[in-house]
Amino acid sequence: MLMVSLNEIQVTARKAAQGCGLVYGLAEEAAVAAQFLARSGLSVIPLLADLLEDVEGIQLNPLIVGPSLGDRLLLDPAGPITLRGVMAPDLLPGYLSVLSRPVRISWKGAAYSMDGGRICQRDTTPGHREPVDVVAEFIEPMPPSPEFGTAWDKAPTHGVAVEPEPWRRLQQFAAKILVPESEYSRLHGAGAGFIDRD
Amino acid sequence: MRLERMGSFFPTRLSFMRTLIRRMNIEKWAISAPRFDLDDDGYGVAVYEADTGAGEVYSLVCFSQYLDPERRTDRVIAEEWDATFTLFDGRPGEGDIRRLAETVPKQEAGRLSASELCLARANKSLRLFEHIASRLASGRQPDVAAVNDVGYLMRTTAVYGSGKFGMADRDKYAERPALSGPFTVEMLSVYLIRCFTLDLVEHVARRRDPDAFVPLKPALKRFLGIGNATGLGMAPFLMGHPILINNWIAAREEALARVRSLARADAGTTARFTELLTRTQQHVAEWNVADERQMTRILRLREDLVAVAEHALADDHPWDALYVWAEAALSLEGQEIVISLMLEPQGALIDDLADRMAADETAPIDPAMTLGDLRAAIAKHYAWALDIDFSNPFNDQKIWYASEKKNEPRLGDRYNEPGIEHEMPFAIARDVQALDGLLADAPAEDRVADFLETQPDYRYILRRVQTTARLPYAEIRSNLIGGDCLPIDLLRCKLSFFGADKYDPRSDRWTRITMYQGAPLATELHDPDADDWLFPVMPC
Repeated sequence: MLMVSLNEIQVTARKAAQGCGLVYGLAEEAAVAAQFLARSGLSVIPLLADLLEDVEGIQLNPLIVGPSLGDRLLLDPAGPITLRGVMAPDLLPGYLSVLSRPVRISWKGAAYSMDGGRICQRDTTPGHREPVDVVAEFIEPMPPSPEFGTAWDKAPTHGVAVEPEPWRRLQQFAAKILVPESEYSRLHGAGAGFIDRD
Repeated sequence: MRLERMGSFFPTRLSFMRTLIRRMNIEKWAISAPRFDLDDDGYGVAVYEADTGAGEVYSLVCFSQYLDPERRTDRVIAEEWDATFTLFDGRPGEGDIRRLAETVPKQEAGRLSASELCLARANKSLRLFEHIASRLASGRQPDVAAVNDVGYLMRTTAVYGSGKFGMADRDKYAERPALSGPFTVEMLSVYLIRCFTLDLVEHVARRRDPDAFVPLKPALKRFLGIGNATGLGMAPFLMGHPILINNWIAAREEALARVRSLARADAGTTARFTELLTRTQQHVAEWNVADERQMTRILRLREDLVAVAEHALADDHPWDALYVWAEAALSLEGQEIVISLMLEPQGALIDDLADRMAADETAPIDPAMTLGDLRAAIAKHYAWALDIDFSNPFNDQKIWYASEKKNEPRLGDRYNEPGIEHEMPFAIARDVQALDGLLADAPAEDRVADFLETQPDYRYILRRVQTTARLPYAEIRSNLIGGDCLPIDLLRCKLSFFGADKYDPRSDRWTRITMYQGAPLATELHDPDADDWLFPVMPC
């Protein structure tokens, strides 16, 4: 495993999303969602890399529909809000992390309850790969979770462990937004136009 | 606020370096150098400790090495430096030093851990470093004019924090009062780097001729700051942190409002203002640069300061009257320096505002806002953007991008530099116009949530509009892709909040500055006048 900072996760995720064709606003929110899940101690880098690998091909890709889920819930707080036929929904809880009210998001095989911007409860049954209907709704306040609280507090002081191969994939996606070096760019794009070294 | 105004800012007592020095003074921090293992040429390892006296210790680990003059550059794309640094959280053990010796000199190519809070590097001012070393080695003090001409022994060319390259995220230390202010870690690192450079030049001089050596006079030491070569690297930060920028400017504006509301000026405050004004006139007289545009502004500023000195303070609301007069009579830089001077004697009234300058950049979109209200917000806060004619290629001539070479931010010509596919999101005015155009054809009663479901591309700019509607200083009211945009104005704004001075532009996108010039030395941090170093002047 490789240790990275939360800032690196957010910046790399954002640039990777841009490199895979997401507009800046969607890339920003994908990065916030990814950082939230990583800070909560969940393995999000492989998931993000897979979602970015095939942005258009994944049905109701969370990278596209995630931001609107929170919007819809705020607009209709009585809820619930349902998204039908979502492949790979595991990034979606990250999008709801910015909501100030306690919220629950669930689908067949998983349920996340969040309050105060933290995961309070998470139930998952592995092995579900078919498209699922996702339900999001506001709930009553929840007590904090020691498990997720510990991970949350530990991340800024120790860094976050990420899987090297998917992390490299994200870095490769992120590199797509960089402009190749040229003599003209090097001389005129930045700095004083000369080697500043007196 | 317009870029032209922001590019005329000066440091104030709310600048981050000032706030840090005040804290060090009030809390009685102790600075020491528990390790100083340098050879005759000044190459080796040093460690500087800042002990807050409240159980926290921060250590600047310094690596000084030989640098081939042909390899020396201040650009982000450099790969070797005269000295490299990291700020360690606590006291580093030998194992830490060995680990850091391997990685810190590599800078961006290395990996740090959550024990490190800051990563920096610096190059010598070849001119001044050798002048001072040789003078001290021969028993003489350096030429004061030469010191003033440069102002620093070394200049930093990057100071990184906040989780970059594996370092600690800001959340690790944001709750600690000593480090809670914006950029405090970076400001502390630069102060300790200054300490190192002063000791380094004396060390090199002493080793050359121990018998003839004399130490640098304290007044000259004090007049040596740390330089910085600032390029476009700061621009993405400013654009990506609108709430933070709002809070910085709002704190400044609140400070100004409080001072302007004072009905009278007591004799002590008036005397202090006059004393500062005299010092500032001398400071500006000593500020000379090669850049024609800036030198013209400095010459005008000198005239402005004469006018301020000749302007009698009113009896009733004197500071408000001064401000109103300055707005009408002085250049932008003249107005801004008057603001710095007005704020300076009013610490008891405004220093608490330093605690309002941090920010949480979380800005969820308000999905319930109607498109009619959104359009009204654009009309109110972005009228300046709607007026720009983007069919004129001059108005979108510039394009901001990141280079493959070490992610260096660069500014290109959209029409003459093909191949720039990914543009940084700085085209706010253009994007607001596009958004407004779509909204003009949409039902006013529709909600933002409805709009964004079919137009997700506008999520970023819509969020910015909503943020600016809440926080009026969040948006820079200038077209950053226009042919007339001066990136240096962006840089100076941020640098002024750091507390930097002696702006020395080398192009429209590169400036030298000096930090901590005139600041108390490590041995003077507890002195009663430790906070009095705004606009320092050459020692006699």
